[in-house]
Amino acid sequence: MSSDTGATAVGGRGRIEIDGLTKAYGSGGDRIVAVDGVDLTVEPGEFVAVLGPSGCGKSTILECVAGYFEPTAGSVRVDGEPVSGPGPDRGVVFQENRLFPWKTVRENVAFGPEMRGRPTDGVDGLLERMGIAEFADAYPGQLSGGMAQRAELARLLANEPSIMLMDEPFSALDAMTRERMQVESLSAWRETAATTLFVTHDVEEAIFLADRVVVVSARPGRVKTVVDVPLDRPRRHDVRTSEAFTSLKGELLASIHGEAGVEFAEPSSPQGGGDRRTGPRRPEP
Amino acid sequence: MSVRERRGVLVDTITDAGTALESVPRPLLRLTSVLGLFVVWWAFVRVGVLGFGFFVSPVEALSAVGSHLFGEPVADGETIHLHAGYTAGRVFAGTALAVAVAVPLGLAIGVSELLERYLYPVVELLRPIPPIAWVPLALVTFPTTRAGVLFVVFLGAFFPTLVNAARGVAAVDVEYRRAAASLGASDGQILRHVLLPSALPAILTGVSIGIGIGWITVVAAEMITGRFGLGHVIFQAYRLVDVESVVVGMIAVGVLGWLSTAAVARIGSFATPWLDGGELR
Repeated sequence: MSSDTGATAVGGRGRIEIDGLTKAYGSGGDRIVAVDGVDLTVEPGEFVAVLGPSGCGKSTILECVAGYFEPTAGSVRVDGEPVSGPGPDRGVVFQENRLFPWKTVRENVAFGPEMRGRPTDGVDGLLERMGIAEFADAYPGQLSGGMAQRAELARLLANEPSIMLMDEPFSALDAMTRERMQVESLSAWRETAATTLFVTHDVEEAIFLADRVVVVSARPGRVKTVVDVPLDRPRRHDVRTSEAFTSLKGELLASIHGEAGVEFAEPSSPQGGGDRRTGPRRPEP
Repeated sequence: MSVRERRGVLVDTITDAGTALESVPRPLLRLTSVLGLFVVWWAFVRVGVLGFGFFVSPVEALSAVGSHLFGEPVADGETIHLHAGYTAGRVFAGTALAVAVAVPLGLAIGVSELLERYLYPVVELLRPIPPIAWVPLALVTFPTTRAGVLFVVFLGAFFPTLVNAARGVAAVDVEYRRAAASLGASDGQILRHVLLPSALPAILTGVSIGIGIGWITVVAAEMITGRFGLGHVIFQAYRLVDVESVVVGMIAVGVLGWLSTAAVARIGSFATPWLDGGELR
């Protein structure tokens, strides 16, 4: 791994150990295995992208780390402790923003510290830095999609989690806003040095952001390949046209290609889950 | 002019009239609507539709309202203010009590599957019973008539508030709870900061329906029982064939009911500022 700043400059908090994680829904004939025997260890401060086609259970992995579900089998441990429920050490950014509509942007961002009885002096500075200070007293319903995701990222950062869990946070945004938000989240990651697990179905997004890309197969979700991203940091947009980037993209697409092919070959296989806005991704030739 | 041209002119005229109607200020429109009611009322009395020939005309009714407003006693020798005060006080107290009990209970039912399972069937069984049907039981069980009437009004406002609060909480998106939990909120904090505000619009709808039923209930209950209240005035006046006082009582109930609904709506929009935001700039 050739990543430089930030990624390894951490006091060792935020280590995620996923061990034989299996998650099934339903029972009997309706039983659907979303995730099957996933092993993954994310080192403190590392940025790992979980990449996979629609409905491959990649969100389920993240939700088990967040503590929203008990695994059917296997375990998820954070800093050695088994995950037993949601907690402020693991901040989550959702696909569609989950800002509380009844609180102003400032109240939303201050929510975590306030609930935990921590000082909230940092909130205004954070709003400033995320470029949403002028919307501090607005309600989330009044924000554009990009601004809302900034506010949600700010809400997470205000809580100073040691782990950031991001579930396709930018997939609902337009292409330009999405690219800006990717840079934004990279600088947030560099400043906080938080371990980051980033779920996406976008190959370029995964390469641009991550230290490692974990390719997950569809139904049941299994780790198919893990690819290191040896691109220097800080990364700028022109890295997307570099040779290293394109060859990585080719490698990952080849890995997914078979996967998506399987998915198309079995039209009867149940769809749904993760990607609400996009269908299965047909890889470019 | 050809048919087509004439049709065009007609369409233009209608469109213009429509635009002109939209530009009329709202208070004026409301006034027009009320005046329209008076015209229909007047015509009914004038023509004598059904038994309306015996009824008072709008002019007589309004002059009666005027003189009662200035302190002329109604049928039983008391002023309309006193009776209106009794009725409004019962509606207000009954609804306030109902909200105080129904909102926490509704939240609890919405949150707890256990309560939902064991308490909600009872609610579903009692809810269809019209509050008025409780009057005899209330008169027997409560020490005073006043308490009995209050209880019946309470029942009227209680069920809509309870049901809406429970449904409002049950409908809260689980993702909001998760987001709050992942930010470090405790269960109590989630109840206070997520479930309650999220369910607030539904609760307010319940209160609004509840206070309306409260008015219906209180008038009926006062007709059956008691010596005070607008329901008592209306029924007493009916027995004395004092048609004017009947109408005065009805108008008082109408105006006060409308005012209380408007007050709930005002309080509601004050309590839920995020709902009338719209896009910025």
